[in-house]
Amino acid sequence: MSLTGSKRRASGGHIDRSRPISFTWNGKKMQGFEGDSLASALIANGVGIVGRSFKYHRPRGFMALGAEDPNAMVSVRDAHGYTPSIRAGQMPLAEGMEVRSVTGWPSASFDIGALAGLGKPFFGAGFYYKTMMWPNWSWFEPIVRRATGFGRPDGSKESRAAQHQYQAVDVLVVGAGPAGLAAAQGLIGSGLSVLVAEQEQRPGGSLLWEEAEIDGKPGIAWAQDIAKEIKATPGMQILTSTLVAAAYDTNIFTLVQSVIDARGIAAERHITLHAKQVILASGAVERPLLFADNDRPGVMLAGAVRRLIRDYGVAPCKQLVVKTSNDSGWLTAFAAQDAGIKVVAILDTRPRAEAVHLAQAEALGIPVVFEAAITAMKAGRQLRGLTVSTPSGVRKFACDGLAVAGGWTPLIHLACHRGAKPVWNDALQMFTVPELPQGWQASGGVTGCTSLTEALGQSLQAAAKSSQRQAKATPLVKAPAFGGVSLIRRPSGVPANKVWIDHQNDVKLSDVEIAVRENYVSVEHLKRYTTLGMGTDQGRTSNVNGLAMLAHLTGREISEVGITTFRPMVSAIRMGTIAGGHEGDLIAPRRYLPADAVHRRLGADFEDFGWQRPDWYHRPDASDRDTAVALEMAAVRSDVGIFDGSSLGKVEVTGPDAAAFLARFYVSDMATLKPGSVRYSVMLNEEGVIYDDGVVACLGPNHYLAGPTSGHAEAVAAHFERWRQTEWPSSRVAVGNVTSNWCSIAVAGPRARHILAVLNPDFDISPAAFKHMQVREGSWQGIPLRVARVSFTGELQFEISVPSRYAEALYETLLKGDAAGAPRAIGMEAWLRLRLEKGYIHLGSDTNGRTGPTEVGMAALVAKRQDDFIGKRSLTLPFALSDEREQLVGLVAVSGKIEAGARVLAPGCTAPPCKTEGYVTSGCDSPTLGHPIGLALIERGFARQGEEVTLYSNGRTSRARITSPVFYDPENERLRQ
Amino acid sequence: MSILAKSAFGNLHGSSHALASVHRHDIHDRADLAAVLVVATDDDAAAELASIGLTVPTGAGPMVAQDGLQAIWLSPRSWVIQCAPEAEMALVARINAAFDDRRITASLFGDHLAWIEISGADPQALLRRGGFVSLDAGGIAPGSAKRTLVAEVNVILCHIEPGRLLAGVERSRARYFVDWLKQAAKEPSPAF
Amino acid sequence: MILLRCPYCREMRSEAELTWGGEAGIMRPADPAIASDTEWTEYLFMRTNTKGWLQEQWCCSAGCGQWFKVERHTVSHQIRQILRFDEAFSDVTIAQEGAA
Ligand SMILES: [Zn+2]
Repeated sequence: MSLTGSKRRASGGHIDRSRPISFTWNGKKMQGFEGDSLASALIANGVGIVGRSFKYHRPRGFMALGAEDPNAMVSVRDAHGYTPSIRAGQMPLAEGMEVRSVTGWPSASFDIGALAGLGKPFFGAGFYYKTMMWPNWSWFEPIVRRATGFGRPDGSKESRAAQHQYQAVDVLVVGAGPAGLAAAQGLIGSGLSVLVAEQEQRPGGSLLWEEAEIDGKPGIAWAQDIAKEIKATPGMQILTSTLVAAAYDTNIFTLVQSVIDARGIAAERHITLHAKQVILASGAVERPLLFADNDRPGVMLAGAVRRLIRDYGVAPCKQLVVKTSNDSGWLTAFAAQDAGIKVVAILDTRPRAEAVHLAQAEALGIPVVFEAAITAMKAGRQLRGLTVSTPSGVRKFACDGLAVAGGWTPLIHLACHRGAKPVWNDALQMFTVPELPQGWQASGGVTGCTSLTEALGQSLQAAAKSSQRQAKATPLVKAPAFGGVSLIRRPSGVPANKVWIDHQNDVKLSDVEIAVRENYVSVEHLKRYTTLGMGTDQGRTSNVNGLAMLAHLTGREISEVGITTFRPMVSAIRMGTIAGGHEGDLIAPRRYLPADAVHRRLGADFEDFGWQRPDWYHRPDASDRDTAVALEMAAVRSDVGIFDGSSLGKVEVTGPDAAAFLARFYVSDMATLKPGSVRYSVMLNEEGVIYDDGVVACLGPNHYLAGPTSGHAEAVAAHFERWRQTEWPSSRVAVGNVTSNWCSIAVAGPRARHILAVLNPDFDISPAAFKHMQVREGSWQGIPLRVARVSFTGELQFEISVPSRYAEALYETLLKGDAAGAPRAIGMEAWLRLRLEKGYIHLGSDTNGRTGPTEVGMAALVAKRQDDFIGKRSLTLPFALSDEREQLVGLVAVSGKIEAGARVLAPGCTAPPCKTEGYVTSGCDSPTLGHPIGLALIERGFARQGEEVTLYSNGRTSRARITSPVFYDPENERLRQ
Repeated sequence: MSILAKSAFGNLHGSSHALASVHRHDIHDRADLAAVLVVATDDDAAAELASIGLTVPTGAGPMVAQDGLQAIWLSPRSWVIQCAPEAEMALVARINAAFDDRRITASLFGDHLAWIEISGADPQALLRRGGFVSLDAGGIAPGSAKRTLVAEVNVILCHIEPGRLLAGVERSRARYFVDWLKQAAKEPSPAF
Repeated sequence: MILLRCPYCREMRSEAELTWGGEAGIMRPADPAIASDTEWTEYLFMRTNTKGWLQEQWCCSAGCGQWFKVERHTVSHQIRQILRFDEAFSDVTIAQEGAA
């Protein structure tokens, strides 16, 4: 045996024998050549058993060489990363690849599960539905999970680079086989932008292995010449190793391009493509025949055998029998004989074949048997022979390979993703899509065409239509014909449990019989009940045979039975490729405060609140969160703190109708707001639910500044715009979102005014001149300055805004403080607890999708309004008036903690399961008050002041008393100082 | 005491700074650019602005340059006018003084947007790693502007001239946007 | 993926740049205060949920921010009309309903 394995031929194929490539298979060193796929290299090295079947652990060999192969699932580690499960035929061979079988334990060729007969009584049709039922399913699941499945992730991070790309072209050509290439050639000179996507590493498709002469050149040379021409044409590109994985509405496609270098798949590109027109030239795959023991290793599709010989220079066996229902098998027999394989016999299911083939077989001395049926196979780890029933009696043949040809299955997946209906063509014995989506055309094998001349003609016609030009002349073609296909029949004289239909999922003819017996006679039911076609190969080789058997068993035509729905993706794609670079800090757009650098210098611990915001600050006196939060709160209550509130929304509403416009949005009447004043209110949606809250400042006549909650600024600005455009288009008002133009630093605490004074503003900040809920504009050393006196903490508080470019300067100036001391930097947690002590709502925490203004104690405000505002009418609908609405109340702990999210149990209940009547919306230990407090939405809460309730959270219960939500300074004396 | 003005990238406002050199492209923080937002309450605002000597485009696409200003159409009633930072406050004052009923309002916008310049072989191709940029043939024409999404971020893209593109990005997202650009520009394999 | 050419900025917009706004032609009661509970809840909640041609509101949200109207087939996503918000759908195509 030579280094490269016993099955490599001395010549032939498109591999480069001067460039050997080393790899390992289950730890064993092997060698292939440049141009090999992993599958061809493994076969060349004599690997016959590549895995085990899903349920019965039957040995499985290579059946095909591409995405249609149900068997050859392997895991691959190349220089760039690990792929837990891929079909060997889809992976180009690369230096140093470590390849392992993914099924079978301890190995694919020696599997304990198969020896023990594990699963035999287990996994029949409907197994999952009959077995995996509560309460027993949890008992079975671990066993089933261990015994089945393909490949294991190795726990390592995806290391292969992935890049996303968006692209728009005039024409997408799917496939660079003869049909796709001819279509692209027809588009040269049209001026259209064209993308040709080919799944394989090389263009040419079937020309890589079929005998053909086009335009006087060997087929493959013709293909290479066109590929070169396309590459040289501006606006046209051909992408190889590129899977068109999915088609979506309006001709959007997902393409995955593998970028391959000498050491494997270096990277992948995820392309979202829009194409005005599509030429589908995705071809067809061959399907197997049904006969006894047809799952044995050594049984391969006839076309795959031809490809092994002609494309990869591999002779997969020494003695070959061909079993065929069309001319494909004959072509394989001739190719095999030519490659030095002894063709033992051609078994044709038809009563006759093309005279030209028959004559050639005779000339080559190949025995031919018509109307032959295989009734038994002799095989252990390797195929040794078979028994055939013929019209003239039973015959036996010795062989180590069997090529089968059962007809063609067009790859119509992409058209079907778009809703095109597959229609059974009885003459061709295949599903095609006669009606294509808008802007689509098809040519070649996907249309059911098996003649090369016809395929090229179709392609050039399609190109002509796309470019609105005369069709180019079809080139002269010399190629063998494939002839007619015989009907798919139930094999006679063999037990149904010996006939495999889906080789990946171990679905046998007997399983289809069980399904039919149990009345699962719709294709979609058959699929789910038997798992037929549900494997990673998506049933490319099994669906049609399964449907044919279903039709046979139910006395229907295949056209009546139909086919299951095709769904994206066409073939598995990597999750890492879908994710692209979206990981870590790039997982989604991050927003940074304008003074971010200062917070980092100050030792902030950041949290993402839509913006990256300081949660708390590390300080010499505060190395943990609880300590820091308590000290930050104490600073605000007893001295002064500063807090970065720059993320707060700033939406300018201007124009002659601005006041009336704003009045329609807020529960409070903003039309009465005077220049220099600020008002807090809530905004409802039309269903009467609180949509946002915040303050509105009147900066001057016809000039307002709304302050939506952080992270809601764009949404509120868009909300204003929608109503302006669609409901009040004649309203003379304009909306401008200027949120990020201004930083806002809040100074809060008894000494807040002293700190504001540090800026030496050019307006009077004395308590008499600048009152609570007022706004002032001026300048700070020539810089525009805006200060609002509002309070979120319950203390005296100023919100100081300057253009964001000065954010760092402003924050640092304020932080220096005055002669009496420096303010403490305050993080989000302390800020939220301060407002909780004051009983102010935090939108989205203390309100939910049902909370209206009444429920947060604003009924009086609503009652005061005479005119309409958005959502007002909904407040008098029966559901809004129901006394089962949850109302916002305060909670004070009687025993234990008050945790946000805790359920409020119904009176008399001590532990779930029981009725609950609300939940804690905010909760904390209040350092100011010295005990736990909280806010809760509780049914009829307003009427239950003083009542004790039981709270339940994560297995713990505690007791609390319902109180007013305002725990701190209910008279508002401190914030008015 | 002088108050330091800093861009979204921590650079001194009023200057242009190199942020990164990526495969075949350079990225700059154009902190020497500022802007004014102009919003109007009715549809004849372009004519009213013309009456005070400000020409703005009346539809999407081509930008209008005038006296060191560059006007970009945002919507039928709003524009961004790019200007030098030192011209920003005066421009706002000039417009607001002319329309004291605020039927047209100008606002400081130089700090709402960060202007990121991408120059090199094909800036639009680089941005297509985060969105279509344009579904029309030829992409954004030189001298034109377009608002769209790139990497889930709203951007105002100004095609200054072939090989030079300005992306106006809301300030808080500017750093993310450039981080994304650096990642997207990586050429993970020579085969790419 | 939906693709629509915005009638205001004239750009072809992809789904990510657009916001769907539900059925078009939903009239807010002129005076909500005198609308009955039934009238108000019809306005809030009742939609045709059409399988077929539907007149809808869309917003060029990542572009020019304008709301416009679209007649779209909810199964095939074919687009028959795209209008500015103040324009009325053409009756001619409505009469052809079901034909496409
Ligand atoms: Zn638009």
